[in-house]
Amino acid sequence: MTSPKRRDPYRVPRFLIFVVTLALIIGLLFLLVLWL
Amino acid sequence: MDFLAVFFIAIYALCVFPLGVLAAAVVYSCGLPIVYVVALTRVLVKRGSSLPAPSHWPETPSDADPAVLQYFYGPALADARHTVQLGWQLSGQFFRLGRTAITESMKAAGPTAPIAAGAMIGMPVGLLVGAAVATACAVVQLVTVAVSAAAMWVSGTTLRGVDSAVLRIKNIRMVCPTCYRRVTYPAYKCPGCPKLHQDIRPGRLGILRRYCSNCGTSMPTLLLFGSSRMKAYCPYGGIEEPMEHRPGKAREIILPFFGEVGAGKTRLLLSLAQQFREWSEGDHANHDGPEGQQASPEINAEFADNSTSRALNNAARLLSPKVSTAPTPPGQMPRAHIIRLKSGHRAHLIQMFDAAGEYFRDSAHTQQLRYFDKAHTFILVIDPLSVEAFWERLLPDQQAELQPVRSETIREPDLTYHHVIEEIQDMQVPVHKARLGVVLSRADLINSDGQGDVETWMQAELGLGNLVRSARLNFREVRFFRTAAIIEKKGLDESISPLLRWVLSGNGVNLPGDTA
Repeated sequence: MTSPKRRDPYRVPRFLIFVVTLALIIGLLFLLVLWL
Repeated sequence: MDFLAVFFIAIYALCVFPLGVLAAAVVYSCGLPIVYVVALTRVLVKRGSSLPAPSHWPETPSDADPAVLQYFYGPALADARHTVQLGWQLSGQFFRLGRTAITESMKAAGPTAPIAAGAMIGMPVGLLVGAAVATACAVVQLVTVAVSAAAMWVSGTTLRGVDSAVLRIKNIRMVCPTCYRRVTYPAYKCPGCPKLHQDIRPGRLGILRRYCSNCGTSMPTLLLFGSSRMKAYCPYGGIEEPMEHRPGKAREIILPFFGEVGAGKTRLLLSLAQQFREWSEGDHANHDGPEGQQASPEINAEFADNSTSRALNNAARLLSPKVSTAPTPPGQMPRAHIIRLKSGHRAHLIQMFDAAGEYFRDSAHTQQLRYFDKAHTFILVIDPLSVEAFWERLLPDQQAELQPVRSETIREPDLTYHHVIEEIQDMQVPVHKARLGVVLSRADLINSDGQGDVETWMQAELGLGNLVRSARLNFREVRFFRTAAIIEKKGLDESISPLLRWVLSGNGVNLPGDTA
């Protein structure tokens, strides 16, 4: 009997947090550059 | 060294020194945020084997179900902390790299020394700016996590509320067929391992799905998302085997039978099961509705679990007039016989409880039957032959003929009725809102045709006027039936159908052919 393949349950939420955080950082830096 | 060489060196130093300042400032201003993004990527995306372990990681509380914590209920914050720690560590390495390059250049006193001298001034400036921007990046991540966690909490609470509201709107209240306790939500066994999850609903262990910490299998968190497809168990441990009737999918009707030993409760239950089966099979021969209207094959009834199937599958054989029903074993707490009834688009689970008559003789036993306080309709079964006054009026020939089927234990139905009513009132049952069906069994043996309605006959012939009056006073609605729980050539006796229709109509089940 094979055990079900373990998937990292946090893979998707981690990726989402990464994308959102990166997008916000880039956006804020862009605004900072524009402001300067 | 001549003057000219010194002059050119000085010119060179003056030119490259500001460049060193500027380069170091720019490198560290931009470098530290980049280092933070690298740390962010390593923690949240790559997660390679070289990633250092976090200093703190939230664990599922020991008293919780064996499931992985939902990401936004702790792990997301731990990841943010981990990112900051890794960013700090990588920034330190980055700082030491620059410091070593500057020191070595200065020691070598070569052409790069003026640049290094400039970098010595530019580096702290760059570090300050870079640290500020990197901190801003960390704040952005923390805010993202906080907002997401709040959104998850709101979603979880909302979904939980919606699921509860749907159950309430559908008037679904679950009852364990074995321990009789009200089940707020069933426990579910993980589909991949034997671990039991007591409360699978959205929360800290998963919003839409949860993951078993033992085997990693994911499972839905709500009945709305299909958790009823998993094996459900009583959360109070009242039953070791799964509740196969898929609780939560349909409204449950609790139908308790009571009456003296040998009154005919089990036989009546068998006949109700048979009636369901005949309706379901679309056999119109014997299930006329009121005024001759007929049932329809739109009705679909099935045994909802194996236990019911084992007990009632051979109802047709047991209802033969030649077969006498075995008494229900005393001392054995009844388990509900559950029938899933689909009529039109609606489904109901009918839990029928048939306790041995011995349970209705003393308070200690009756109080164990806690399913009584979940019921709105009660069925009192009376064997007219057990009424002494009626028996004495029978002719000797009739007595001789009926003696074999007469219960050995004779106890007046009044006593049983009043005892049970007192007990269920002690259970805080609002009897005045409930319905009582009084069923006189053995109609096939006692010829009472042409002797008025059942209620009058009960008062006049059985001398049960007291019982009738009390029932009328106690209950919101009382209906009297004569039943013959037998199957003959033409099928199940037609006296069963009106009783079952009355039971169902009072519980919101309208069968085809019912009058409004």
